Parts: sequence; structure tokens; C-alpha cells
Amino acid sequence: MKIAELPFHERPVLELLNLQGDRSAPDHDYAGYGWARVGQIWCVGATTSDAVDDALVLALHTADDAEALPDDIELEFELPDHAPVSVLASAFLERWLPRLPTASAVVLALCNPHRAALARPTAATVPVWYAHGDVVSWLDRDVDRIELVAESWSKLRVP
Amino acid sequence: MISKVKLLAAALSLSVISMGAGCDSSGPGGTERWATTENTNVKIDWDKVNEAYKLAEGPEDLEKRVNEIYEGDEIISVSVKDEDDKTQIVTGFFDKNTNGTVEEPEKIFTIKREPTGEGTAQYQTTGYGAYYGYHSPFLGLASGMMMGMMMSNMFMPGYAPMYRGGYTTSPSRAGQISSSRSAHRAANPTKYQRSQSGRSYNRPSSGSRPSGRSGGRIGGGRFGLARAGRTVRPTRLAD
Repeated sequence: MKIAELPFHERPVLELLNLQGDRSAPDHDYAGYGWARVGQIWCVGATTSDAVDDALVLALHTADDAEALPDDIELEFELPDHAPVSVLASAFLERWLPRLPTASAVVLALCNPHRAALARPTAATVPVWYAHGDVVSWLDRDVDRIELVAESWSKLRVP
Repeated sequence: MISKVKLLAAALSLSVISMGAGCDSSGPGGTERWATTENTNVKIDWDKVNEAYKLAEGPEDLEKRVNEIYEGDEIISVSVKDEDDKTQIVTGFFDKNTNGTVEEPEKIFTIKREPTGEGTAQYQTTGYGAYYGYHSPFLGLASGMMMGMMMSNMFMPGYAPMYRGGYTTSPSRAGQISSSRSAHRAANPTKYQRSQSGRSYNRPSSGSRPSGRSGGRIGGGRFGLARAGRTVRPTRLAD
């Protein structure tokens, strides 16, 4: 299989972020991935909270035992009828960003346990948000707000 | 806002099924229905349809979304008609005679969107034919909420209805939708299956239950995978 052949598809955002149902806490066994374009999503850190408008959200996963890299994240994909495969986030984004719809920002729903400092993908034409530490999704139904909560968030700006 | 998931199974070989023939109310207020005939059970997740309308960028995007939600073989055509001010009627229908117009026996659902005040609106979905009896709750909208252009346009300054003359899926467009949906299904052959590990990799995970709440915070997922103790590393793709 090639990176471009991964079944990385558009999904309704609530499904993509596992926000359907009535869960009192995020599900740590969730392994869903794909992308969705949303009008607004909140990147919530310990000390900051940023509303990102018109975002292309990429839901991805890294394994707890993934290789610790200073500037990259090893992604892992569960596949139907195949063993899981991994791919470096840098390679994944270079292949996939040009194939996805353009939005005002890209937000990576992706844990970053080794706090890698990602480089801006050359294929990125808009700012890219990524987190440090664990990332979990929440839906605040009182204000109809989707949140990705992490220790902190970084924004890779377009030069 | 995000109401509980209500799955509806229905047989679609009939043009119209009366309430007493093949339909069985399974929920209060007629919000959940199950209709079946001898051959086909086709599910429509009404919550997803309602969400699709809320998030659609336009009629063609709505067509795509609705047909990817629908699990049957038929193509759902869409008609969009703007009425006075900001009221909009969306009709989903099976264009059985491929004439590109909505006829009563072909109707599957209508969605009526109407303003309720300054910067607010609501919409409701109603089922027809085999889906007769389904009524969604009135789903509220307010400017600033997450929604697609089809919905958010109405909150824009200087809004002017775009579909006073009506938009309807053309027969040729239905062919494109069919091809697109076939590709989508081919690319998602196990949409409702699980991976080898048993994790829910492409559908909402277990552990959730139908929501009885209308507010509060709902937990989603964590975007990491617990792999403690495994001895075999996954193959890394390089190309």
C-alpha cells in the first residue's frame, strides 16, 4: 500500500471526532481517522483557547509506542482486513494536503506525545495547527462548540 | 442541538405506504418509524440527514451528503425552493420517472427552514412515503453556529434568496451522483465493520448510548492509540 492509497476519507465532523452519542469522557480506544471541513473549531490548551474558523480538520492517530522524533510524528492507521500501517506525518501531509479541499486553516486532531516540533509542510498553503501532548475531542452542546483539547497548541504560519 | 440517533429502516419499493400498512411507530410523537416490505430494508440515519442539511455548502453538496448517508440503491434527488424572506423548503425524492420534478408519490422527506427572529432560525424534517410519520424536532439555528454556506447565507447581511426559481437534481446530475456514490462505497467497503484489532476505526466507537441530554459536554475520542506490550511494529509506508 502507498500513502496516497490510505482510506483517508471525508466524514461528518461529529462522526469523525467521535462526538455522536452521549459520552461523559473521551473514548481512548477510538481509532477513527479522516477529514472534515468545519465552520469553526476550538483549539483549547491549558492557558489558551483559539477559535479556528473555516478549518480543514484532519483526524489522525499516533501510537503510544511510536518512534520518538524531534520534528515528526509517526502516524498509525487501522485498516480493514490488514494489519495497521504507520507513516510519518510529514510524508502523509505532503501527499494528502494537495488532495484535500482548501480551507482557511488546517487543524490536526493528533496526539503528540513526544512534543515534536513539526515543520510546516511545503504543501500547506494555510496555517496548520498542531498540538503538544494528548489531544481529545469534546462537544459543548450548550454553546454548540467543538473543542480539541491538548496541553498546548502551535500554529505553523504560511510565510 | 445534536439529538439522539434514530435509525429508520424502510422498504422503498412502494411509492406510498399508509400508516397502517407496514409502518410501526416505535417512538413517542412519531419521531421514530420502521417500515418494511418483503425484500428491502434501507436505513436512513435521520440525524445525519439533518446534520447534512446544516453543514451543506449548497444543493449539490447536500445531494452528495444525503446519498452517501442513504444505504439503498436508489438515488435521492433534491429539490430546493426559497419561499418568502428566508424560508426554504428542501425535498428529497426518488425521481422514478426521471423527469426531474418532484411528484407527491416520489417524496421521501421535506426539510422546512424558517426564520424565528433576528439571527435565529429553525428547521424540521418530515418523512413521506415509506418514511411517513417521521418528524424531527425543531432544530434551532443561530448565526455563529457551525453550519455550511447553504444555511449560513441566510444570516449574512444583504442576504438574497438564491433558489426562488428552485433547484432540482437533473436526471444527468443523478447519474453523476450515482457514479460518485459508487466510488465512495467502493472506497469504504467496510464502512460498518471493524478493523482487525476490533477498534472502531471508521464509525463512532462503542460506549456511547443514545443521548437523552440536550446540553452539557460530550466526550469524543483521543487521537492516540494504546499499544503497550506489542512486539510487532506496524509496517511504515514511505511512498
